[in-house]
Amino acid sequence: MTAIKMSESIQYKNYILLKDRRYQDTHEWIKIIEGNKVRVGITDYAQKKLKSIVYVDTPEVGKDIEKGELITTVESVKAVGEVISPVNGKILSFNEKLEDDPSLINNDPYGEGWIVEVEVTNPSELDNLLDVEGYIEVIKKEEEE
Amino acid sequence: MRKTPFLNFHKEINASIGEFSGWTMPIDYGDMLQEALITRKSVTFFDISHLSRIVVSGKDALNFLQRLVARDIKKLNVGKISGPTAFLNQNAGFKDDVMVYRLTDLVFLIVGNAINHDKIVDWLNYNSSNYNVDIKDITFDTAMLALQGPQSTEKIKKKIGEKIKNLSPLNFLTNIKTKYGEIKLISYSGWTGEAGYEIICDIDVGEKILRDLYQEKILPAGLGARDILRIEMGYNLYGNEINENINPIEAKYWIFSWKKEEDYIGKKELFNILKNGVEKVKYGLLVKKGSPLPRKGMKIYIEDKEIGFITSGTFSPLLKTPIALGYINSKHSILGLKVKIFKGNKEINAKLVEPPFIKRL
Repeated sequence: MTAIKMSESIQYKNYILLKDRRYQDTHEWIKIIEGNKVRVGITDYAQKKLKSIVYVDTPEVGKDIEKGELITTVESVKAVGEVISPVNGKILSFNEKLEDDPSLINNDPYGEGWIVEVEVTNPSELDNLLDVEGYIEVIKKEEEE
Repeated sequence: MRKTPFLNFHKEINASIGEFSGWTMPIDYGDMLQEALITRKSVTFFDISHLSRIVVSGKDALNFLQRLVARDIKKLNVGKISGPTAFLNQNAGFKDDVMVYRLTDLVFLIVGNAINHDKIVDWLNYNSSNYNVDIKDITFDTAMLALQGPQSTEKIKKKIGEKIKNLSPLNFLTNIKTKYGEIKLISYSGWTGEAGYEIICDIDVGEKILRDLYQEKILPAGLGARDILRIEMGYNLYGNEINENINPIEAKYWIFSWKKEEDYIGKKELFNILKNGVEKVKYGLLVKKGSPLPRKGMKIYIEDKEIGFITSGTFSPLLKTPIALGYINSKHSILGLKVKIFKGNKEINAKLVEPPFIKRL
């Protein structure tokens, strides 16, 4: 994989990770769009584990959320995945394209397959999340199990 | 744990390996929805070596099986498959649903569900004491493969030759010489609603066939696709739609012969049930597009009244909507009835339909 635009990518085993964002050990990524506004989605590892995604529950836009709280659920034929908020803040919007085509998450987990935009209470919270190396360790651990 | 003899091959071609009915086997090759679609559109191959294969032979083989299965197999010709039938228990519940192949006058092959393998081997032996029969389990010494899809006939002809030209549904050929070695049996039956062929052969022959099909760019499909395809057709899966406590009438699963004269285990109760009626019946549930998936065990409601439960749920890549199978209390057995399935606090809207969800064949 060399064609990922504008962002340096790293491959661990079969999984792509991008350097321009942070990660949570429950397999979400988070990236600052501008100011306090961030996007949250699930990682390439997470979508590959879930496989063909067929449904994303619409979260409540405008809702305040805390770090660790459930944002929404993502379903494939065989499993249901939870999207857990990596930060404190407020849900600004939901990627409505996912209502028609949940497979965007499989096809482009870090781009078109983003799930929600969140207004972060304090952007410095992101510093406490995992970088690429930290997240690779999480994958390694899970793969061992 | 049992495992398919071709586990290494599946790993080589990047299968996701999982467990099913005590077997380690391929669940998908990256995208089960796509695998199901390709099966509908063209052709895929499956490793179905987990299915149990038991040969019953001997002087009393016919009488013995007539006593155990619900279909009348005495008129079954050599080279023919019975169509779905079942071993029933005394309460007319399903011990296993199976296909019976008549190999010769006195030799039959029974193909059944992996999950019931040990139970059925025991059941056959337990019931065999008054019969002169030999029961031979060939599950672990042979492989079973399938080609499914509208192009399967063309592909199998190309691979095996014109010998199979005249094979029609529920027929099979035995001991076929091929470039891979001898194939013990090729049948035309299928579980997808498409044309489909099953091959039983030695393991080394099976490996050659699998590798050749893959090299020919025929795509593999796993158990995940198999499940989607059978739900699209409304076919029952043992452990989901049917079990020891479900009878064929509730399941609308016509595995018995109405006019079979001989007595068989479960017959008396089966006809009692027919006379007295049933408490619940199987339906398909066509789910509103864009809904979460109904899953096994979820309850079905009308307003706040529980009227049934889900036995299988999936997503149909062809219809692009979730579909499910389940049981509805007889009082609410009304085709077209609009129902709700609760998933946590989410409401899933669905309609009772008679499967298949898709029209085929």
